[in-house]
Amino acid sequence: MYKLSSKNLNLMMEEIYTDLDVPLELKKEAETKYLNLGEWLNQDSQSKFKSDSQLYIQGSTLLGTSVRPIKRGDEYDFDLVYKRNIKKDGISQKDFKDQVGEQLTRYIQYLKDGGEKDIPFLIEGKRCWTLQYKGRFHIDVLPALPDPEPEYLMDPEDGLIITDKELTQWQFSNPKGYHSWFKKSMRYALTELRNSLAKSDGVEVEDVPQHKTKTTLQKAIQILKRHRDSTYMGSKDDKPISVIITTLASHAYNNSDNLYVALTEIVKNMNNYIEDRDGVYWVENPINKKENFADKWESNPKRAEEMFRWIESANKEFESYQNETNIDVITESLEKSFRLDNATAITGKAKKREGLAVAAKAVEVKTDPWSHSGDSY
Amino acid sequence: MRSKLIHGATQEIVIKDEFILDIKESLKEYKGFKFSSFTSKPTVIGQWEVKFEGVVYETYDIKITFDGYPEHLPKVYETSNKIPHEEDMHFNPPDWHACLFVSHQRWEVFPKGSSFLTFLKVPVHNFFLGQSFFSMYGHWPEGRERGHGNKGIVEYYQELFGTKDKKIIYSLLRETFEESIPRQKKCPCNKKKRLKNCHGQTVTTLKENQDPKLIFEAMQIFKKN
Repeated sequence: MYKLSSKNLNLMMEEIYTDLDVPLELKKEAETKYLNLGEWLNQDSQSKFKSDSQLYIQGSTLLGTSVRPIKRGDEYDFDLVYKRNIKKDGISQKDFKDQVGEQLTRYIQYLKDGGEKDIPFLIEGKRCWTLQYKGRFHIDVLPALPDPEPEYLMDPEDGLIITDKELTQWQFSNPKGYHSWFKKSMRYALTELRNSLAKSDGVEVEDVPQHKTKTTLQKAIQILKRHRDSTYMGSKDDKPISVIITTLASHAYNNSDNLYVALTEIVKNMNNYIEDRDGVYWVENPINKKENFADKWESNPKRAEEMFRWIESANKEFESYQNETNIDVITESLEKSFRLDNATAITGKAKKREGLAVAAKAVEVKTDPWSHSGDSY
Repeated sequence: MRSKLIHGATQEIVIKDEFILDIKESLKEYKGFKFSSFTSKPTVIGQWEVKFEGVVYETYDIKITFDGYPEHLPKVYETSNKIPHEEDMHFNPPDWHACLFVSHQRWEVFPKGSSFLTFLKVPVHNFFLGQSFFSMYGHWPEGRERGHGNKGIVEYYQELFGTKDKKIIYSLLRETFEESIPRQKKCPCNKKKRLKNCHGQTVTTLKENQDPKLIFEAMQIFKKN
């Protein structure tokens, strides 16, 4: 076999991404459910607590970097923030969380009364409430309040306070602000992508649907997250966390629109963005300089070790694909690292594409459908 | 030329023995291909392999018919329906035979007197390799394709002469009707160069090989443009 060209490695990675992405119909189904829930919660908050509320997506759902679970039958999760516009003074963390649980219980009753067939179960988590839908997904609802003293470099008005796991303290978060930073770090790629899609679809740039504008950075992060999930299957404790992967990958992204090139560059360079501040590892929250995403590494150095080990192994592995002449070696690697059930089909196609490209290059006398002329005259 | 009784009627067989021999000889390289000359249209059928350095990448059932061969080109049909039979996929209506090359390119690709093997090895090979490439990449090799009809002819001469300028191409085509190239004659593409040392070689090659009727046709197209 011939070595796979960067063009074909890109196409191969695109196919892996397609396999890992959350199916569009599922995203749409979840969206319908949370819009309905958001509307109900806001009305309920107004009548019961005389205050507004907002329900919006957060986390990897908002960033467009969710991946499907490794096992086909497992559920997808969609992360939502339920922001109630009330003051934190005068309400304890526990009461605040309980009030949301009580609201969600009444929402489920409302669905039942309305004859709705798809009734979710309510499950209490440490910080959030989970609406468990029959079928393939659940929605995590994280209760939050506006941050009265937000300190963020971007979107401070979207700063939130949330309860801690023990329900004794308030913690800080700003998913919208982080999303703004993330979008900014790929603005070049996003603009390029939107323009080219608008051109090929014959529509205005602003009419290009959101779900079509998945950038190479987002895809690369999805692939890295799946690589991480697969590496740490069964040993969840010290696995690199998504927000660190996302932040480092965004810093290391070189704006390439070739997914393979982007990935190899990211894993080669993401280490450089882990700082050493007087012997303490720092992965700075890009919108809050005081927050260290790697704050747990100090008390648990195994986490840092695992992070470096994982990046190194991904680096070696991705790098090796471009020098490999035996397709079976790549197939094996994809099966192991991404738990793909169609790895053979994906590499088989890559091999075929490469062979045809070499054969096409070898053509001496060009006839239809070849041409060596320009496209206009 | 032979005659043969077909369905009780005498019909002229439209292909000479020498060509039949050449076709049969050529097909020895292609396993499983069958040639039948005992019909009004001699036909080759078989499974075409898109093959390179011993690896088969794709197969297509094909049929090749001969009518007025070798003056007229054999017609190639894809019968497995793996490819949509459309003009954009380089099939010609109404019978959707493969569009292998522009007629003006024949002198280069499959000159008169060449073996049927050349036909298989160059245009037919390229055509199915191109189709297979398209099915995997969604575009033709090198990312471009030749236009249909006159557009394809214009593109062909643009490539041949290495210029897009239609006036220059028209002048160069006209040169092929001249007895010889005068030593001092300047090239239409560059007044500082002699034609002999510039596009002269291509003009001479064309003059020696291309059918003058086709050159004349091309000149009319370039004149219109």
